Amino acid sequence: MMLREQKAKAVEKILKRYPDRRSAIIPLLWLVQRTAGYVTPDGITEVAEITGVTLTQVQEIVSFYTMFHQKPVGRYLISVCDNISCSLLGAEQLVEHLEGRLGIRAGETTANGLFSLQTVECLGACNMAPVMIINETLYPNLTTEKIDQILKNCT
Amino acid sequence: MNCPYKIGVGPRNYAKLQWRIFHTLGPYCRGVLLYARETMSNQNPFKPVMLHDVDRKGYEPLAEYRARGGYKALEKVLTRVAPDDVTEIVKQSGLRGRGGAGFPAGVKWSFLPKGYQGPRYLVCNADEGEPGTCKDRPIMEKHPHLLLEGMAITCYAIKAKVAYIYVRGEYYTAIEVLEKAIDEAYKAGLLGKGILGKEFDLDIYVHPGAGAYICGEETALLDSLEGKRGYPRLKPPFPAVEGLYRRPTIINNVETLASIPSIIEKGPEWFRSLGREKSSGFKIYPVSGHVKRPGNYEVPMKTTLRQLIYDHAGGIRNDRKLKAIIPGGISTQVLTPDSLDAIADFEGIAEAGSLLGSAGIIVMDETVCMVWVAMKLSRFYHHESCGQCTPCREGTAWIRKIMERMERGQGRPEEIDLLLDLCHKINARSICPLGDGATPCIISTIQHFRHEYEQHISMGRCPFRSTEAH
Amino acid sequence: MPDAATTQKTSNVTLTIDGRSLTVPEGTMIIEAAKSIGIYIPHYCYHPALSIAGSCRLCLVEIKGMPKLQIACSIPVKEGMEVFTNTEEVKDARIGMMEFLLANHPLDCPVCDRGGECMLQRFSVDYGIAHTRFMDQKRRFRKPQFDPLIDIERNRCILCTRCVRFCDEIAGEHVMGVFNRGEQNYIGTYGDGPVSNIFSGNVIDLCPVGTLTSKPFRFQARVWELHQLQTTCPYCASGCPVTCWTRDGKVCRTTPPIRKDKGKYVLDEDTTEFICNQGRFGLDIGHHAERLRHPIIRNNGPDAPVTWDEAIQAAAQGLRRIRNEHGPQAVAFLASPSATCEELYLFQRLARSVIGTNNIDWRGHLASPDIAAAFSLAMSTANGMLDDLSEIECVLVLNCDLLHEAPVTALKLREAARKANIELLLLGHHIDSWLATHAKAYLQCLPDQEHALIYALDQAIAKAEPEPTSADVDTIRELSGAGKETVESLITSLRSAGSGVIVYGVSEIWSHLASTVVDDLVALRNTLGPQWALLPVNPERNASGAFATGCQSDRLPGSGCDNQKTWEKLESLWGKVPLVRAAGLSAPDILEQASLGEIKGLVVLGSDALLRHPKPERVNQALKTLEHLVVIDVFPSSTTEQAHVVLPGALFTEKDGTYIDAEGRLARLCKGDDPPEDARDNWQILGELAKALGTEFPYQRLDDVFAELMNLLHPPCPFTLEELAPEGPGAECPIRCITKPSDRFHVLAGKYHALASSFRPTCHVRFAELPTAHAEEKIPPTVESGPGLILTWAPILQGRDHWGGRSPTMAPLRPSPYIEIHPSNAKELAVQTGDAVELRMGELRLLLRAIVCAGPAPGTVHVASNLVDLPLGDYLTRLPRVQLKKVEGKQT
Ligand SMILES: Cc1cc2nc3c(=O)[nH]c(=O)nc-3n(C[C@H](O)[C@H](O)[C@H](O)COP(=O)(O)O)c2cc1C
Ligand code: SF4
Ligand code: FES
Repeated sequence: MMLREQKAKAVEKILKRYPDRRSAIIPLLWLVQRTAGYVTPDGITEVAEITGVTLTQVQEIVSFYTMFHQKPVGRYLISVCDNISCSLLGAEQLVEHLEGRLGIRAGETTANGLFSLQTVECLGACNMAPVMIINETLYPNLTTEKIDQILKNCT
Repeated sequence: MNCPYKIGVGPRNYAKLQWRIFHTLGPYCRGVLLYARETMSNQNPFKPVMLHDVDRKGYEPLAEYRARGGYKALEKVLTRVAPDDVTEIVKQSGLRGRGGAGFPAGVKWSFLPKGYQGPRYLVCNADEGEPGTCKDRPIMEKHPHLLLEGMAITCYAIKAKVAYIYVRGEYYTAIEVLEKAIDEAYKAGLLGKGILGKEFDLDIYVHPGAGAYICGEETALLDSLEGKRGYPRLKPPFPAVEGLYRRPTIINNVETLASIPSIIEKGPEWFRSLGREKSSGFKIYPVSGHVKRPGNYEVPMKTTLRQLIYDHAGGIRNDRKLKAIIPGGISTQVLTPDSLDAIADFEGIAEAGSLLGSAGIIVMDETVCMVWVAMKLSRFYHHESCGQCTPCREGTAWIRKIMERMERGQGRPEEIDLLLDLCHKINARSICPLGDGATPCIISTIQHFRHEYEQHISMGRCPFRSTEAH
Repeated sequence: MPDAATTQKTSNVTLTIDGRSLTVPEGTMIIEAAKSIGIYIPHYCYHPALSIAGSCRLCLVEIKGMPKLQIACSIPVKEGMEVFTNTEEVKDARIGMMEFLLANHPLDCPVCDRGGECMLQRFSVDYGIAHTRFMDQKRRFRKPQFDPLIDIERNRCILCTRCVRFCDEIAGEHVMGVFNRGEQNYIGTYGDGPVSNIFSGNVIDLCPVGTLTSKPFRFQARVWELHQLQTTCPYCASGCPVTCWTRDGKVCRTTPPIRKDKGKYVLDEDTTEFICNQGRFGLDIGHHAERLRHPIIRNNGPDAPVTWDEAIQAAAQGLRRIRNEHGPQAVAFLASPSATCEELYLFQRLARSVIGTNNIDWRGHLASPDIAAAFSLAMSTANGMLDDLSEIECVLVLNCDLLHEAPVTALKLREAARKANIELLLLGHHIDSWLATHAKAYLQCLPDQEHALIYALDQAIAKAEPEPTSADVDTIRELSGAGKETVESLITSLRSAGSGVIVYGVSEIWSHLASTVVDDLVALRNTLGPQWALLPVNPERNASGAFATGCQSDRLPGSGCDNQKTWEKLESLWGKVPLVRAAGLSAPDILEQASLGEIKGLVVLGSDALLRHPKPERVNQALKTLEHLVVIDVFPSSTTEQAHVVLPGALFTEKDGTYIDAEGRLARLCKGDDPPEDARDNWQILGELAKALGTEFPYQRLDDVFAELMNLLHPPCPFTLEELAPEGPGAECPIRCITKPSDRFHVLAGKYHALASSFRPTCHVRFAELPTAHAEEKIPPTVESGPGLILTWAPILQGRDHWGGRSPTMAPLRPSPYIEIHPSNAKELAVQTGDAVELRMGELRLLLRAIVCAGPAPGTVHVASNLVDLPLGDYLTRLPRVQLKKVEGKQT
C-alpha cells in the first residue's frame, strides 16, 4: 500500500495525464523504484491494482526496460556508458579502473551495499564522452583521476 | 546593382526582396546576386537557433525566452494563421524530420484523416538513443520553451489538444527542466485552456521512458506510452491514422519540433535558403570520437563533413590520420576519408553510400580496430533488439556471438561471409527498421576493412590490441 | 452493434496467388485467401482465432509492386494483387527464418513430446538446411514449476506468443506474458504461477513447438502410436466434440477434434475448436482403481462377487415380487442425465412397458415437485440455439455462471460479444462476471425479486411506445438498483434486436419461485416475439436427451404425456402391452413416497443426480426404507452402498451412444475400450434385466435402439448410428444432427461442415472485474435492512462430481471452497480476494476463500454448491441468510 498511502498525490497526478490508466504503469514503477530503491513485488502488485492490469503485464514491463531493477542495488548506482563514442575515448579502461577500485565486476554490488557498477548503452552525451551517471547525476569527460575524485565524495 | 544586405534589408525580408529583384534582373546580374548571397552567408554567419547560448548554466526560463522574442511565433499563428496554413508553411519550408528517417514534417501532418472528430495527439520523440546522437538533450535542457512553443504550434496546426513528450529515462535533467518549463507555461497561460486568450487548449505532459532504445521507433514508442512493452507495430496502419490509443497521432523528433518556431517567425523561404533543394534548413550535428573539439554544431545543412570535422570540431586528435566516419548514428554505413567532401545532408550522405540518419557523426582515427567497432555495435543491437520478430532477435544475437569471437581472433574464415549472409537474411525482413539498422555496421566494415577481419583470423588475435585507444 | 454485420458490405476482391486467380471477401488476409485454394503458407505466430502478431516472419511472400517481402498474415487482399508464395526470394527468406529459429533450438526431438506434431519439425523438412552454421553456446533457460498441468520447456520456445494472446484475448486474462527483452525473451507467468484459467489446456495445442506440453501426457507415448477415438465430451451441456487419444483403450490425452490431413490424422495447430480443461484432462477415469468391476448382491452378509446371472436374477426377482405384491406403482426408476439417449430410452421402456409404471425421472437432484414442474416447463419451451451466432443479434443471459457450467458455450458467447457480433445482456441474482466484461449492460436483483424484475421488463417492452415509460424504468431501477441509462439501454437492446436468445441456468432456479420465474421468462419471450428463443442450460451433459427420450415422469419419447397418439404408437411399438396413460411421479415425489414406504422398489441408472441432491440425508433415508434397490453404476457411491443389487456398467469411453446437448445437437459417443473385468455395457444390462422380468427387448444391436428412438422424434433423424460417427481411421468428426427438444425436431446434417468450422472455443477460473462504468450504481435498498447476506448457489463443472471428480489429473485443479462477494459488500466487510472468511448459517460454520467480484448481486453471496457441505435443502422455501466474518491472518 506504499504508493497509495505515501504518494497518493503523485499517483493522482500521474493518472490524470492519461485517458487510459495503463499508460501510468511506467511512471508508477518509477515512483516505486524511487521510493523503495528497486521495483519490489509489493510495488508490482500495487501498480497492477492501480492500473487494472495483471501482475504478468506489469512484470512484462519491468523486465523489458533496463532501468528498472528487480533486485536491490547499491546506494550509489554507477552506470558507465560503454558504447562506441565513449569507448573510443577509453570507457573500457574506466570500467576496469572502477572494477579495481570497487573490487567488483560490472553488474555487481559491493558487499557493503554502497556501490553498484554497471555498463550501459549510449547515454546521449557523446559530445562529453566518456560519461557515467551516478544515481541521477551525469559526470562528463571522465578520466581515472576524475573518477577517483568523484568516488571520494561518495560515502 | 546594390547588394540587398548593403541597403539594409534584414534577413527577414531578404528572401522576399530577393525574389522580387531576382526576376527583374538579367542573367549577369542574377549571377552576381547568387555570388553575393553565397558570400553574404559567410560574412553574416548563421546564428544558432536551438543551441543559442548553449553553454549557459541551467535552462532558459520563460521570462528570458520571451524577452528575446519567444512565443511570438505561437502568438502569430494563433492570431493570424489558420491551422491548415501552418501545415502549408511547414510544408513549404521543406523541413524534414530530424529523428532519422527524414520524412517531410508538413507532409506527415497532412496525412491526418480529414474531418476526423475524435481526439488526436502529438507525441514528441525525445527518446534520443542512437549512439553518437546527443542533439536533443541540449535543446531540452537549455531551451525547453523553444520545444514547447514548437509543440504548441504543431498542436495548433494538427488540432491536437493533448501532447506527450516521451523522454528517455536517463535524461533526468531534461525531464526535470521540461516539467518546470511546463509549469511556467501553464502559469503564464501558454498552456492549458484558452491559450493566450485565444480559443486554443493544450495540455503537454512529460512521459519518462525507462531504458529501451527501441522505444525511439515511433510505434514502439506509442506502445510504451500506452503502458506496454516497447514493441514496434505492424504498419499499416500508420500512426497518423491509428496511433496513440488508436487515435490519429503525429510523432516528431525534438529537433524537428524545435525548428518550427523559427520557420514561422522567419518564413519558409529563409529556412529553405539555408540548405539545398531537398534538405533545407539548419541542423544540429553532434560530432564525437577522435576529434579535438567534440560537440554539437548547429549549422546550415549545406555544410560538408570536412567542414564539420575539421573546421568546427577542430580536426583529428593528436593530428592523427582519419580512418573512418560514421555519419549518422551507428545505424548508418561507415564511410572512409574519401567521402569527406560529401555535403552532410540527406542526399549528400546517401550519394556517399551511407545515410544521414540522426546526423550523429562519429570520427575514428587510425588507431581504431574496425572489427572491434563492429563488435561493439553488434553488442548494442543485441542488447536493444526488442525480441519481437525472429530475424532481429535471433540474428543480432548470432552476429554478436560471431563478432565477439572474431574480435578475440577466434573467428573462422568462412564466418566473414556468414556475417554478410546473416545480414542479408535480416535486412528488409524484420518488423521495424532496427533490424535493418543492425546490419550496415557489419556490412560496411567488411566492405571497407575486410583485411582487418582476415588479419584477426590469421593472427588469432586483434592486431590493434597493443596500441592504446586514446 | 447488431447491424454492423448486416450493414457491413462484404464486397469481393479478385487477385491471383501463384498465378491462380481467386475471389475472396474484402479484408481477407493473404494467408487465408491462399488457404482457400489449397496453398499453404507456413506460419507460426498466425492463428485464425487470435489477433495478428506478425512476428515470426515465416509467412513472407512476394507481392508484385512492393519492394520488400510482405507477411501474408497481416496484409489484406486487394483488387488485382499478384502474390507469389514460392519464389526464390521467398524460399530464401523462409530458409533464413528457419535457420534463425533453429540456431538456439535444442536438438532434443527424441525426448520432446511434441515430436510428430511439431511445426518446427514440419518446416525443417521443407526449409531447413542440413548443417547448422551456428557454432556458439545455445541459449538456456531455467525450468520453472509453472502449471500443474502444463509443462514448460523454454529453450524450445520460438516466441510466437500464441499462448500469450490466447490467454489475454480468449480466456480473458493476461496471465501469460513475455518477459525480458530481445534474445533473452521468454514466456511465462508472474512468479511462475499456474495459468489460472479453465481454458488453459488449449495453449498446449496452440504451441507450435514443444514448449508447452501436457504434464499428464508427458513421456507417456509418441502420438503416432496412439489410436484416435472421435467422440464427444461427457461433462457438460456444451457438448464439445473431442478426440481421445488412446492406447490399449486407455485415454492418454484428449484434444479438440482432429481432422484428416493428407491421409494422416493430425492435430490441427490452427484449430479454433477450443475445449475446457475438464474435457481435456478429466477423461482419464476409465481405468480408475475405484471402478465397480463385479456384480454384487447384498443380503446382510459381506459383499461377495457373484455371477451376472445371479445378479440379474436377484435384481429381477425383487422387482417382480414388489410388482406382484404391491402393484407396479410401488416401483420407480431414477436415471442419470449423464446416461446416453439409448440407455435412457431403454430405461423408460423398461419402466413403462415391462414393469408398467410411469414413475420414471432423471431429476434426482431436485428437492421439490415445484421445481420439477419448473424444469418441465423450461425444457418444453426450449427452442434456442447458439450455433449460428452471426444470425443472432442479442443474447440475454439470466442467472447463469455459464463459464463454470458450460464453459465452451460461454466462450462462444464472449467471443461474439467481444467482436461485437452480438449484444450481450446479463440479468439476475448471479451473473457470470467473466461474460460481464463484454456485456453491453447488466441488471442484478435479489433472488426473490427475479420474477418481479422479469415481469417489469416484460411490461416495459410490451408497451407500444417507442421509448420505455419512466414508470416502467423506475420499477426496474428500484428492483435492480441500476442506473437509468443501463435500464434504458437494456430495454432498447431487447426491443430492437432482430433476433435473440434468452439463455438461463436452470441450476440456479432453486427457490420456491422457480415456476414463476420460468413462467415469466416464457411470457417475456412471447412479448419479445417469435424472433426470440429460450435456451435453458442444464449442468448435465444429456439432460436434453433425458427429456427427449421420455425418461421423465411427464414426458414420452418425442412428446408430452397428454399426446394420445404417442401412447398408441408406443403401445404398438412395444408389443401391444397396455400402458398406464398418465403422468408418473417426478423424482422429488418418488423420493418422498419412498421414505413414506409407498414406493418399495427402485432402479437407479447412474447415481450422479441423487448425489447432487441438496438434502443428502433425505435421499439416504428414502433409500434405506426401500425393500429392493437395484443400482447400475460405474463407481461406488452412497447409493450403491445401500443397493441390494449393484450392476457394474460402462463409462463413456466404453460404450456407443448419443448425447443431446443444451442446444439440442445430437452427438455420437464412441466406444474405444471394454468395460473393466465383469462390468458390462449399460444397454445390455437393461436388456438382460428386461429379459429376466419376462420381456425380451427386440434389439440386436444398439443401432436398432437408436433407429427406433429416432423414429419417435419428428422429423426422424435420417442417419443411422453408424453414419453419425464412422469410427476408425478415415472417420470424420461426429456428424451433428440438430434436434430441438421441443416437438420441432430437425436435422441440419448439410450444415455439418459449417458447424465444424464455426468457432467453438472453450474456459476460466478467474472472475473478471466488471467494467467500471457500471460499478457505481447503487445497491438495492432492501439489502441494508436485511439481517446478513442472502446465500445463493449453483454447482460448478469442476466440483465434486461422481465421475469428473475422480480424475486424478483434475483433482489438484478443483478450486478450494470459495464464496463470491460483491465488491460493495466486500468493502463493508473489509475483505479482499484471497482472504479467508467464516460463513455462519445457524449452527453451521464454514471457512471459505473470498472472491470479490460482481457476479452475485449486492446483498447476496454465492457459493459453488458442489465444493461445500451446506444443508441447502432446508432453504428451498425461504431465502437463506448468512453472516460473514473476515478471518484475520489466514490467506487461502
Ligand atoms: C530503432 C529506431 C530508433 C529510433 N530512435 C529514435 C530516437 O531516439 N529519436 C527520434 O527522434 N527518432 C527515432 N527514430 C525515428 C522514429 O521512428 C521516427 O521516425 C521519428 O521520431 C519521426 O520524427 P521526425 O519525423 O521528426 O524525424 C528511431 C527509429 C528507429 C527505427
Ligand atoms: S526488428 Fe528487432 S526491434 Fe524491430 S520489431 Fe523486430 S525484434 Fe523488435
Ligand atoms: S505468421 Fe505471419 S509473421 Fe508469423
